[in-house]
Amino acid sequence: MLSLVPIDIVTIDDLKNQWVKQLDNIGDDSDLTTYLASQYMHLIDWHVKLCDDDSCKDVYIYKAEDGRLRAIAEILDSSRSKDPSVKLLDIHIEPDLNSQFPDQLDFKFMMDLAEVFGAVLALASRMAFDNGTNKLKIYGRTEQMQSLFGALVSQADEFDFNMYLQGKWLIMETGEGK
Amino acid sequence: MNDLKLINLKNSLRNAFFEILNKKSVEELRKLDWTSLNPDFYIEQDENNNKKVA
Repeated sequence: MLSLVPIDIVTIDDLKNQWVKQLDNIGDDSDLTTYLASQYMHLIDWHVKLCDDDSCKDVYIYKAEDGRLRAIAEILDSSRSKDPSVKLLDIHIEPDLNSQFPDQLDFKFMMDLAEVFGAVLALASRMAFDNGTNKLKIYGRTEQMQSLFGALVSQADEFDFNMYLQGKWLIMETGEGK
Repeated sequence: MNDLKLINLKNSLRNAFFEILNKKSVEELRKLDWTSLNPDFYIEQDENNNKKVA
């Protein structure tokens, strides 16, 4: 079953092994690949440090049904805030699905990417359901992300849950349905 | 939320994301935070079509 696994020193080590293999398989030594690989190692090392400092409680790894660790997600339980919710702040995708590596994108790449995003949002929604707030807030840092959220909301009539925009946030309310 | 509802929710979102993302070019995708590790840098191509960080 797909899941969001709280990050710890064991899971981040598993993730490091999987992602380093992916980077190795990309197999070119261009400046870009070298740069992106160093960025990934920086990201992983940062999370290792968070675990060492025991301050990684808001970080989760998306584990697919096949055991692949496909993304790091920053998710905050804000059930005690003025606007009780769960907040999804960021997603860091695995190297295989990083759009900076390939020159062209094929059907499988796009479907895998959509699958990971859909799974992370659904699992974060379940966290909101479980903590009783039934509200997931997803942060859009840039205009491009907010535009993506706008496109999602334009499809909201087809969903059996509520979705709308609130400033830079995309809101999902799944508890009661529509 | 039971597992069936979770899967249905995931599939609805996956289909919506696919419809949106599939219309984007690779250049547009690279500007999205979630699909790039760092969308704040640019990729240029030299005369031999080699990509490089700018």
